[in-house]
Amino acid sequence: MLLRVLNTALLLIWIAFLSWLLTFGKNDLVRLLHPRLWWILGFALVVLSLFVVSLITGRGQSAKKSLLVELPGIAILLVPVFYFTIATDARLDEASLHNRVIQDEDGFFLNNLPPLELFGESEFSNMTFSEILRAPEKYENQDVEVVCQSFVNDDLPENVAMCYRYLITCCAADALPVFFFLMHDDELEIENNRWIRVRGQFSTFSNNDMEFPSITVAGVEYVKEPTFPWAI
Amino acid sequence: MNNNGSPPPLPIYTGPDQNSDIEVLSSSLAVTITIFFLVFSVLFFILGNSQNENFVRFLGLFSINFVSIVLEAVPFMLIGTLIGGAIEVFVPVAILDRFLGRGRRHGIFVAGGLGLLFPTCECAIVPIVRRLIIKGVSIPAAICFMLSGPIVNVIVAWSTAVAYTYNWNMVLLRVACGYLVAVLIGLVLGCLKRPEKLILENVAELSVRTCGCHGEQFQKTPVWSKLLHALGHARDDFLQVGKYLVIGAFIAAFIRTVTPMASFARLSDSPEILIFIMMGMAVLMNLCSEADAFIAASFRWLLPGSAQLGFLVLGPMLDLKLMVMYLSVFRKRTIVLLSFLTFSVVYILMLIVETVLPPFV
Repeated sequence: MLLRVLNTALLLIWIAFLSWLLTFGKNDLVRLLHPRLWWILGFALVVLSLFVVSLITGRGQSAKKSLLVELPGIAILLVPVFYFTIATDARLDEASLHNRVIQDEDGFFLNNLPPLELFGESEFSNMTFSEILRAPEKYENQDVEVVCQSFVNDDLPENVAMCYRYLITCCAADALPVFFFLMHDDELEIENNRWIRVRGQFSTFSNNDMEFPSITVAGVEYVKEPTFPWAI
Repeated sequence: MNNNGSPPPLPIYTGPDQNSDIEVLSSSLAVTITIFFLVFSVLFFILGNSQNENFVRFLGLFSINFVSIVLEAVPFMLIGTLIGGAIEVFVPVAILDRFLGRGRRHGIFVAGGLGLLFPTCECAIVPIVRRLIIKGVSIPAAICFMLSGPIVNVIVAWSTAVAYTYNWNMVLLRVACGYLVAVLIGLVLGCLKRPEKLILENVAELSVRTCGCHGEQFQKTPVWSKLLHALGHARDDFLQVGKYLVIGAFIAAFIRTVTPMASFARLSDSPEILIFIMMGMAVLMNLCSEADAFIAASFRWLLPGSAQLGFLVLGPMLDLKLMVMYLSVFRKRTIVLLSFLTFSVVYILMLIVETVLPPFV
């Protein structure tokens, strides 16, 4: 009986967790899972609700199981809910950029963008980061404006910074960085690890047999983190 | 109807019998693993309040990876458990026996593709296979189904397609390689004179369930009652298997957080090593076959397709969690033999793929 109560409580906690994510917690959910997969969480919510019904009505009731044996398993299923409280305050930042960017002694490699539809990316600019990366030839020598995270590091050449977003396919675990190089003059100091809106002239240059996008910076403005922080 | 004319009582699923010594032993091992994980994860969580800024930042990134993998994988696992429950209740074992019974060599080829009709994830398939063996299905065919079922099925193909943004080359190769590996191993085991030596002597006793799903009386019950019964199986599978998913996601997230991509890029000249590394990762990460494609896809810009394919083909057939689950059906030496065979066949096949096929990812 106690095991049944605990299992019901566990399922109810998961139902509450998913319900909250899909209603009030969308801003947190978008940092973990791509919106086009949110419907599968809705599906999970329905199935878990049916499980609760089957437990409460006594159908398919499990018996002859030791509480001692089952208790750790129940506790383990709650572990992700606890870690979610940490995940809400954390962000993929320069530390994960170091881990996820592909580079060797010759420099960086730029990830390709998969052919996905664009939506919801731009919040502070009428140009989207991904759009420019997908069709750089369209923007060659034109003034552009993008919103991205800044990366300033001693390993980069003088007066060069990076402006990056993470490309998400399904969830944050598969996020990989895509970026522009920012070329600026001596007088401009860009703060590291901030969300910025960059204006400037777009061009591409070759290095290590790859074409890299860059912006000659005309202006930088610090902005708050967009609701949809990914490049898609 | 019984003797007094009243309808037969509706059977209620009461879960697997836990009385067997070996079942208890397997449970003890599982409990040890789960308690160890629980203590570790709680300590890790508590350390998040430490003053060490680097660790707090690491824990934040780890948590993002961990929770996002779980949120993505749980719904797919739920789909698998629902289908597993439906198979348990609605598919008569007699039909399976007809095509996969002992002495039917072609059964191995049928078993390899059975997942297309009965899609299940690797976590749900072990108890099903155990039941199939007891019902008279040939052991090589049952093992073939056990290996191929979690790969050669529409749900896994669909999740692979989504993860690889509809790269059908990867989907077809995964399904084809999964079928080929399973059938090859099934044929090798079919050459054994006494395949019954592969399984535990008392496996029949172990796998007897008390739910009565396949009883004549149960078949007469209304469909809604059967549906509730199937739901009970699905729920139990979720509660039993979910913890392994969480543990697997935890390990996967940890590896994801601490492993710099650049280290893979430096190895990119050695596809043989990369295939081996990715297959080793598949064994260690214990991912569900309905979600592992999302992990593999994150390596698509870094590793050759053969290494990703090795990860996707081996993972559902062989991982630490499965090895523990196999203890409920097979002898220990069978598990060692099966592990060696599976790893070797997949590795050789991936080397052939790497050599023969042009880049496909």
